[in-house]
Amino acid sequence: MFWSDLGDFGFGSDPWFSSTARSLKQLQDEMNQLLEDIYPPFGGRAFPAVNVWSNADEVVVTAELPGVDSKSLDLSVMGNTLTIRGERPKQELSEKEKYLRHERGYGTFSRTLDLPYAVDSDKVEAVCKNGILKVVLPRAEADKPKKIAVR
Amino acid sequence: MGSERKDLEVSRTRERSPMRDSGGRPRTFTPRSDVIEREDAVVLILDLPGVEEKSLNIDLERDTLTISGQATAFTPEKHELMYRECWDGMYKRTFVLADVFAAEKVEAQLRDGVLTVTLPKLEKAKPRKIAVRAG
Repeated sequence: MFWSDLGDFGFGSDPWFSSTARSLKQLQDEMNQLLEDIYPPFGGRAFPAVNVWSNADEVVVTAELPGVDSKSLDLSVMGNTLTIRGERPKQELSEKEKYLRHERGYGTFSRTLDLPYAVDSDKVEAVCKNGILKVVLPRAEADKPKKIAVR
Repeated sequence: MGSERKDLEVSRTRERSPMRDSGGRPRTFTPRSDVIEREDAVVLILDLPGVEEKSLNIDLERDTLTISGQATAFTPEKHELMYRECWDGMYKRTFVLADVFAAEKVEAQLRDGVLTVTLPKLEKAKPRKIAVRAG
């Protein structure tokens, strides 16, 4: 169970993942534990699955959200956290229909991610295509490292 | 074994290609699916995030339905990866159907990363009321 979880989070048996990623994962697990108690889990794992990229000027977060209506998505940014909330409604079957197999999850979800720095909430852009949500979060001006001239 | 060592060395300096897993094999995922039976058809719903229509393949051969599609996640050039849970790779799943279907009437729709395949049943497979004569 332990090894397959590591594998799913993209570390596998690779001993060279950075300590940043490791502490991110720890934070993630704690966050997920809190949230899993409130929301019905999508197959027991944090939903949605995300990738996080960054450089000095912006953070890019991509999330897999198949079948989630972008109108139901609620993205909120506060300081250096991004929260993705939304709902994938349950498929109501009529009397003449029945499930032969039911693997896809449904329900409300919420996930909060810690970002490496504070971002400018006015300049955040989000696009949802083919079930993948991409959020670009530019760094807040106040958080950018400033050069200090030495006289 | 020698080539495996070389693979590990390369990953020290840059991220291993998201297309291959740690054994160097191309990744395949099994998409989560719902199968719904209606009176006149069977409907398959598959989660295929990141798959575009042009890479989607749906093959029906007799009683075996195979669905596959390449998923591409966003790969930025100017950013460093901080945390990854999603991978590029191939979604693939095979369904062996217990019923009889009209192959030319199969419909498929891919929307928001969800594929819906509708397989209308053949006339003779629909439930039929059988009249009982008193006698």
